[in-house]
Amino acid sequence: MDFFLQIIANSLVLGTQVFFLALALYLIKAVSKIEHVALGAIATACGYGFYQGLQMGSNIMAIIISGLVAITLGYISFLILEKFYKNKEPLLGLIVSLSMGLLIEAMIAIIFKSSSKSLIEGILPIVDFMGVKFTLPGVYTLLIGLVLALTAFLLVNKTPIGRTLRSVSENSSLVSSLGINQLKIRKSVYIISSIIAGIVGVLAAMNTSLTPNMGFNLTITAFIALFVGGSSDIKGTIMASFLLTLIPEFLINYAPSSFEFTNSYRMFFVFGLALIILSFKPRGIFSKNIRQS
Amino acid sequence: MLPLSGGASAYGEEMMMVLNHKNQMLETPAELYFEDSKCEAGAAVTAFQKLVDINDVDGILGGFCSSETLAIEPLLEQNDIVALSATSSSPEIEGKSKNLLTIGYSDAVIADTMAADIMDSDKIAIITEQNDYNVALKNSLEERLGDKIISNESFEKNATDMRNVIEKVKASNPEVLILNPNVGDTSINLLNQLAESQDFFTNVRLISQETYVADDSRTQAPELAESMTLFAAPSLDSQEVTSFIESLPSTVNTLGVFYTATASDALENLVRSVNDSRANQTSVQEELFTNPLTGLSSSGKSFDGNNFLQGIKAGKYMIVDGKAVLQ
Repeated sequence: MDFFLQIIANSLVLGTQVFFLALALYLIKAVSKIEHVALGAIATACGYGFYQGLQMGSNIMAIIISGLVAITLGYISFLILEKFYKNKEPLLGLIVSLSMGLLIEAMIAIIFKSSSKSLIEGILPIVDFMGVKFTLPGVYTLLIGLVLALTAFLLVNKTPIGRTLRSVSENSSLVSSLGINQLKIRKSVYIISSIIAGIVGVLAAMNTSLTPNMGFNLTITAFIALFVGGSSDIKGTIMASFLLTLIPEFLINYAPSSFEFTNSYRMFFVFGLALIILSFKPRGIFSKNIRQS
Repeated sequence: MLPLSGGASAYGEEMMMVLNHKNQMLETPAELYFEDSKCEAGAAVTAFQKLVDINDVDGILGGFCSSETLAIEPLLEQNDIVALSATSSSPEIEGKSKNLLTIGYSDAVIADTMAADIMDSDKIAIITEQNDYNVALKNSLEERLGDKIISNESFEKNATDMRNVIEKVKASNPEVLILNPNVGDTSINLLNQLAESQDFFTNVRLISQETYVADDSRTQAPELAESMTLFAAPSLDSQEVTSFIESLPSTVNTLGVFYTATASDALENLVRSVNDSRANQTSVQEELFTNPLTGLSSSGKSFDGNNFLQGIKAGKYMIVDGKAVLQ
């Protein structure tokens, strides 16, 4: 039982990290129809910003630098990708975003070198909750993730802000005619999404270590979660982020030993699940059948 | 060919310093070209092709990691060039092309010594990183330990979070845990995350290989690493080795004494063989095979028709007060 609960606990932390990035992807897709996959690299850049601040000897400085990195890269993302939204070229936007992500990762590797960095030196503080052990950054990840998930769900589904967000991409001319500054909304969403990515970058780095390509695996899983959950449904994005983390872990740890599934199979299962789900539900796991003329 | 970026770059940078220093000590210094092989098969092939096609080199010193060395092996004969590795130790190198030689030791030697040491235990767990060097060592251990291995876990190359793997190992309740990550960041992460369950692992005998010989790899979890047993390169304590290391422009904290010596020897013997092959109208490979080697660790030893230099035995080390002490 302890083993089962510990696997759930560890997987929940990983799933929450994926959710952070999937949420950031969801928000940008909601307002611009572009999958901004560079968010993984932005998360990494914020982690390195935090590290640089710590090197200067101050936690406050670490927060300020990583925050500035997030805001700057969010704004640059908006400047670069806005054109592709206006030209209705989301695929080209995705490719440009991918290039931007790789460029950021390469720059990080040049500046900070490829070897890993630790945000917390030594053994991480452990929180024991009824026999299940969490690292302190893991606890922060879960708590912030819970607050973020609830806030995002309520904001998008239960408030006018959510409707405005969706309408910005779906009917921009109508939004403009209602006097809503859609440019400002998109700009804000890019910056907020970068901040969300930055938070997970710092938390994930605290939980393990900081490497230039640490955001890559998270981005891939988050990207898949966005589609598996249905890119127009935040509830689906939240659920898919956790399912794509928990199911592979259970298959690895509870499949009959004759299968010899090891941790190396994780991404195999993630892609396999995505393939199966999207084959049957191409609009996402929680999508409803819509009759189209 | 050296890993000058990536998790093993600290090793590559130190080795580059050793080679440049040694080169200046040679009677006829060679023209050295360095390429970054990143401890990755793909990067190694690119580095090899650049060295051969653009720099037109007479011999390759490398690869560093076994994955690099095995990746370039098919290209050696078709390019009629010899690769002499100072560090690669995968047993899979044995029996490959005669143009591929390594003056380090084979991990089969490590596996033999390690298995003999823990044969009394019936509950052994292994955690392995998925790359050529570590998988080859794991396979060698499986052959020797058989059913005594009750938990055989692995994680993908360069993984950062191994906590679920560790949980699985804990659930098997082993008496002995063999840690088998590659050098660099992954090994540090693995030890740190094991230390999060220090209460449990204090009662488990920890065994590992070359990865944890470098003091830097254990500094973040010193309590857990204390008393860990390592099976790695043999110790070299001759005056000649000490003098060479002291003459280096900076210290070799990561590379260690043995690989500093093999790096020096690889360059010395490769350059000598290239020069002799020109004078004698023979091949570099023939020169390396027919003459006993010279140098700090290889002096008097020969390949005897094998890919690995013969006559090297494993060293057994114990971590005492944070230092790897030869037993």
